[in-house]
Amino acid sequence: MSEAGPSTLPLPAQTRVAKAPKTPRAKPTPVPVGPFVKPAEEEEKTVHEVYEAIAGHFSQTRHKPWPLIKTFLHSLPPNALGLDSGAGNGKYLPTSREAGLEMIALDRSQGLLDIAKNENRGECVRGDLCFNGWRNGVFDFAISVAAIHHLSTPERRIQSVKTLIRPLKLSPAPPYSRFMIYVWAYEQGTLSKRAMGSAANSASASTATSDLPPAAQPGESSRVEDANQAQEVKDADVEKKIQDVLVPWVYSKPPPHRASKPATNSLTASEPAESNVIPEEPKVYHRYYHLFLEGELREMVVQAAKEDGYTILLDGVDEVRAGREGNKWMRIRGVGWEADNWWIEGEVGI
Amino acid sequence: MVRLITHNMLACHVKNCTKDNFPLSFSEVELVIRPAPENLEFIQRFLPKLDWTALVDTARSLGDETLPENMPEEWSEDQLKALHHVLMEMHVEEGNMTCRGCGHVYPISNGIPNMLLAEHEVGR
Repeated sequence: MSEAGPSTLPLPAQTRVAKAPKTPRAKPTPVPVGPFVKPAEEEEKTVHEVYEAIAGHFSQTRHKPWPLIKTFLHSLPPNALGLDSGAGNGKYLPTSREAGLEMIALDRSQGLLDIAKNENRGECVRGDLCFNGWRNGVFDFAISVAAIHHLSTPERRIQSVKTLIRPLKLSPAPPYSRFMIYVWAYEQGTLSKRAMGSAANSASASTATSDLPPAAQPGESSRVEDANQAQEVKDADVEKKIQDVLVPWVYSKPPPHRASKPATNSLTASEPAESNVIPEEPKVYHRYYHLFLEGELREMVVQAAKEDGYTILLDGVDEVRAGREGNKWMRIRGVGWEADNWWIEGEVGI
Repeated sequence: MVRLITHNMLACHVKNCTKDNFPLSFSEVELVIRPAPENLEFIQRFLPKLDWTALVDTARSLGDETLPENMPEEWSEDQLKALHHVLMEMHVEEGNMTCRGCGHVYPISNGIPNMLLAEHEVGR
């Protein structure tokens, strides 16, 4: 991965928020992006600032819960308390209430959190994916849906998994604390749906009725073409696969009833073009994504768990035996691909 | 709407701040009481995770004296209802949460606490 581009290269122009090209009807395509020299600063520009700018429009496209997350939430014991890390507009808050759960929404974007609080009526905390301030053992479950792929280095992604899992309660007996992570897949659309792991059967059954994949939702480019071209090179040379991309978001102003919500439009409101009667050229913003290869999500979670001192239980290993040695343990309950995303579900105990 | 249940789970996460980093102290608080559906099973389930001393001290700092100094060993329904009120119905809408260890201030605005740190303040 490090061979993909020397870190001394100047940052490409695309890492800045870009105006629409002169031919507004042309569909913008994702742009490969080299390793960031200053990840925090570049994520600020290519993730955080973009979400603040597009919050209202973005939120309109994010209402329907993805079926596997819904199934996961409904499988948890009633009255469980959990965390949604990178919750965005809090679209899983209503689902969590339906399932009899309490869930706190954590996100970096003030604009999205305001929507989570006002429209999805959630308890909200502003913090990033590596927020490490939860007391240990307070949550029974944690989810992170379509968020960790916005972190631009392996270290930062591993850190986000650690901080997702650390506040989970470690129980010596069932019900154990569980987590689920979704990230965007490198393997997009053209490949058939597949799943592996212990949850594979139920998962592949439910994918048949899956929600819109994120790439097919309004505002987003439908394909990651550069990545797919690289895919054709076949698995032999992994270095050539372009996993780090800037994905365009074609912005359209949300209708007034949403746009007038306080703070969701704090950035757009300052635009002088606001009062124009003639529709302006759509603005295109670029968000950074790391596209996960098959196996990468599991590897990342296992790595994070090992670094934090968890014993990884293989299928069939008795957690009671592992716990008797005083070890905290993690078990991967399932890994799968659904609608252009990789997901992983796991549980922890002691 | 920082509820006291949320406050009871949040510690300072500034790099190398490990002493007196919990609980965070409220100041300049705008407190709002919002009735919430009573779910005593949820409250009971949360009991083992609760930091009782932190909760009692915090509730008292906000003017609520209903909780006893020591955590009851057996809970009556009335006691659980009082706990429900403190945990789920007391909302801090505006104000600050200050770390007693390092002094870092986490502001609360429109009911949302801002726990973001500058990159150099983040511990790993």
